[in-house]
Amino acid sequence: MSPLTAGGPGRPAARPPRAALACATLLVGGLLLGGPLAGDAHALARMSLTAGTPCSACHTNMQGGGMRTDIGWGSMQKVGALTWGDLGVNALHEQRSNAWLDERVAVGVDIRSQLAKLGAPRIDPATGDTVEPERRFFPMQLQPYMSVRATDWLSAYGSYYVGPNTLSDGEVCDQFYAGQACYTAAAVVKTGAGLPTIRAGNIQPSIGIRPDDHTMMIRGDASQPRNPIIAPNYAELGAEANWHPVHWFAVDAGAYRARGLSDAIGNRDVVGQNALGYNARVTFSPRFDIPLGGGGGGGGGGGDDDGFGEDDGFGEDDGGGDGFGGDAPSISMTPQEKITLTSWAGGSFYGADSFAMVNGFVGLGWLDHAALMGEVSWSTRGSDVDHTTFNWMVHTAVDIFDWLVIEGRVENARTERLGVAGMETFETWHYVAGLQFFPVPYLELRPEYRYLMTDEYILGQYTLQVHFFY
Amino acid sequence: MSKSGRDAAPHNQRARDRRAFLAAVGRAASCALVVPVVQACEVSRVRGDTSIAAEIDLDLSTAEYAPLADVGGMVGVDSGAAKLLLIRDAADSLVCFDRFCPHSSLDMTGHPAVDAAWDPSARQLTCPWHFSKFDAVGERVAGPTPTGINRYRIDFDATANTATIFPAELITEDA
Repeated sequence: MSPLTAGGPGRPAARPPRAALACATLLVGGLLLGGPLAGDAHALARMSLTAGTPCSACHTNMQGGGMRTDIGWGSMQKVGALTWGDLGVNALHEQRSNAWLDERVAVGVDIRSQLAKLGAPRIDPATGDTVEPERRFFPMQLQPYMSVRATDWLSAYGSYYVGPNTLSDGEVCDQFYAGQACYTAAAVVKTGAGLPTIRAGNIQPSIGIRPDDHTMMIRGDASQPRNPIIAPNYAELGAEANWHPVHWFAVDAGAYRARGLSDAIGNRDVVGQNALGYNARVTFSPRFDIPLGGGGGGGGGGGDDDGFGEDDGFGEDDGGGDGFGGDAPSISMTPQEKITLTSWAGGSFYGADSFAMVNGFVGLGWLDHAALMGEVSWSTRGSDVDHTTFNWMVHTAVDIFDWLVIEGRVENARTERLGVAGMETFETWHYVAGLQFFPVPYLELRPEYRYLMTDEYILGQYTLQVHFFY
Repeated sequence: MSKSGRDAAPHNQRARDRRAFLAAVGRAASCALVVPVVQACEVSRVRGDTSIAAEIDLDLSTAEYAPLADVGGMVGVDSGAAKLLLIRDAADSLVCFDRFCPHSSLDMTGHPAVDAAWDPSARQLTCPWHFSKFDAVGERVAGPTPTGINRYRIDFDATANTATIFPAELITEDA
């Protein structure tokens, strides 16, 4: 027997059993085979790769996620199996913007709940029987946003993260995960065409690819599954410069007080409460037009034909990451005379005191149709603390319609750390296959099958995320 | 336009309708098949050692059990598949509960920011995840947990600083 401090004893790394692979293959394969039966895809852009635009085109956060720009809002306004117009709600259907007061103030929200089994199966010591966790419907996220355009060169955005216990017992800030921020707030300064954009405030540093799903493991720790290194809604006080001089290249760099990271690590010797955090990320995002027959299309590198006009009122070229100005998306839906492939590849570094995290990422997209992406993430807590993580993921998504996307991903998280019994290895595999279904605009249903295999248990289950956004 | 030409349009329309109908039936059948496949793939299994010893002997003088030196201190214990929570209730007594809260099957020693708490005066255990409270025999007192939690018999020798847990023997009445 061994006393535990957290997580349980490590065991030698496990390989995925054939049953897991068979299940995941059957589900992903079945969905992919079912895809062509559903007809021709004519999806609007929903992700950076399938849209061929940077995250900042659709989100005020340069790294993606959260408050949507008018382009991001507008690109989803009519995306649904039924539109609001079909349902006779013309006021919503014909709304032209998510901004008011001379388009200076915009609001948004994310409300997310999930039906899933939470927890782990275990053996009842009294009976020896396996006790399954119960399937429950529980809230995941309630986060309102606001952005304000003060001048053509200065804007601001913010959000508040409402937790399950917010406002109960006088609780104002309810952090479910260590290092999670209760709010984000940033001022964004456009310094001029071709020059970096500066954002300062309580912001999330640009680290790798920002996942939109709280269940993803790429920023987690296999030895502490309830204690991700980079928590959902992670943010730090600091400033970051985002420079996007040409459409195929971007670089981000910033400095922060790494208090949230310090809380998540939980060891002040690794990251102090007032440690200086610093990050850098470089992204290459070329796109390629492949002519089909006598159709048009340019050569490699692609033109600036993403439909997100450069003149968004701030005179820069980040695709309209300000939340204001710019025309509605005008992605061509005419019969294609070319295939446009989008891509990105890059890497990031995030460090504070003895902690360091290095991410590498690559993605390939078929404009409006499909995306395939992968990321690796390695972290260390310095030579004095033997605690290293190495996580990777591969994720694919295929647009069947603009309102129906099938997706699958494989994730692996591996941690090596020094425990009471010497060096321990923890490894978790996660296979996910599912759909993103928009029955009406602003409402996403995400039914998934998830197969989670840790050193201690296996849990395969169907889940459902319900996501309202605006 | 010939007679055959006039007939061709409705014929083609019927063919398109038929194809659309068959496609819709095919999609519905595919969806219907997914449900049992997904349900059949549901699995919940504990890996590794699934045995439960009848008696678990502990030497509390080792460093791992140092938190038990103070009243209210607690430590997780693993023995085979048994995942237990050991708490110093008083100078001369220990109590032993399941380590997993019945609310969401979450390990009460696994919260990244908050520790489980034992109130020695009220003799209540508070889960760090969603703050369910249990009394000294594991009955639900408050919070979202739908049931109480198992408490197991433990014999504590304060002089020798050793203890023996009996996982098969549930405590239902507080001494």
